[in-house]
Amino acid sequence: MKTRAEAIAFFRQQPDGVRPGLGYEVEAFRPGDAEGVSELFYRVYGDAYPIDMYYIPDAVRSAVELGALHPVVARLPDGRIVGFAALYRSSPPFAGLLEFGLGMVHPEYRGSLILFHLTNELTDRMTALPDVEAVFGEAVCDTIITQHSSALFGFREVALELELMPGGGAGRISCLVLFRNIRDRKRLLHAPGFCAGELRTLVAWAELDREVAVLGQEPQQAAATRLEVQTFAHAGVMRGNVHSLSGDGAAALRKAEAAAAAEGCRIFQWFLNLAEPSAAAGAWLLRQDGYRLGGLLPRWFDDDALLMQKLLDAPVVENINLYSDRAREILAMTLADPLGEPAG
Amino acid sequence: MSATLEDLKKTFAFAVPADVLAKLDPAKPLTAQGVDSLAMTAMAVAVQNAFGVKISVAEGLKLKTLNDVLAFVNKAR
Repeated sequence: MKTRAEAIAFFRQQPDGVRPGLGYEVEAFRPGDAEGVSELFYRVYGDAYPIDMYYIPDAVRSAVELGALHPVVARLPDGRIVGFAALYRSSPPFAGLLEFGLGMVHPEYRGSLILFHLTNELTDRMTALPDVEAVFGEAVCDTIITQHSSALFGFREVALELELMPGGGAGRISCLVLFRNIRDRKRLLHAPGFCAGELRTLVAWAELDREVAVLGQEPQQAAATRLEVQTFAHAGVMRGNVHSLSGDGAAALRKAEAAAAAEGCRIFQWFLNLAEPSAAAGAWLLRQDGYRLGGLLPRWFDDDALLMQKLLDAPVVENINLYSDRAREILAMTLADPLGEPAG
Repeated sequence: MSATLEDLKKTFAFAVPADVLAKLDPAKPLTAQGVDSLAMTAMAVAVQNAFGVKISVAEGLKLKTLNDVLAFVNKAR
């Protein structure tokens, strides 16, 4: 099974051998689990999961070997895999910041506590993994359950990604970003003046040791502009990292946004490195172009990031369910007028 | 002091819709009464945090009803 198509064709021909009601063990992934993991993705998502790697056992094994994926699994006595959750490298440039997610349970075991035990196991393990310095999760806002559970596992709310994911009939789904630091040191943030107060609040909530220097609107230029941009056409989302901005920075940001819009993106996110004054100052440019505050993404670049976001369509606020006063305060921050007027 | 069914229901209020919670039969399996796997996960986390107990995989396999959870909490505390 070397390709997604081969793997899906193979799984389609196999009867689902999982029997309900058996005991299981929850443990770290072993290389021999990869076939079962790929089959689980097929049993849970059919052929619809958007990332090819998870359907291909060798690719799963390789990601684990490279440290890009730290899975735990629920394994039946016969070795079949009926549950999966993982820490994994996703959009952050810093390899020490991993995303917590991919939790799934075989349909025959959905009434069990497998997902709870997977989460417990992963949370216990993550503090001991030497290459994992911090962890974040994106909790969907069509329900508060995941947000609340994440908080009970020690994660703190730091940002709100408006309308991030395509939803069902009720419209798009926003995601609350929750963060947990494991190993860190004191850092200096350059906070654009228009959101310095909000960033101080988020720093305090996330219990970070940070010195905040406030940046005015005066130009801050690095020697070169350095951006990375990803587009997720199926989700209509552009996501970009701003490491530094030079004199051509404003043009580069606008060019990237226009290119993403031409691909069909309607949600635009920039993550600005707050350790780099020129990158942080880019928030002033984005604000003029209609971007709103999204929040703080601690450790995104190893140093922290400021999330600025722009939506071509107004967010449907009634669809955003939030579990805490802090999360609702972040929503209010994101809804404030991009040019500084309170939301009305 | 022993925990009660009402204590459990208060702990689960964030995870289970109020109408489902009000009608829960403590002797029947939770999953047969509209409690889905996400809610089961949230309920288990809440039990650990609120009552200071750790639910092992072996124990978790036995927790099917509210009465099971209550008995486990009062034994484990």
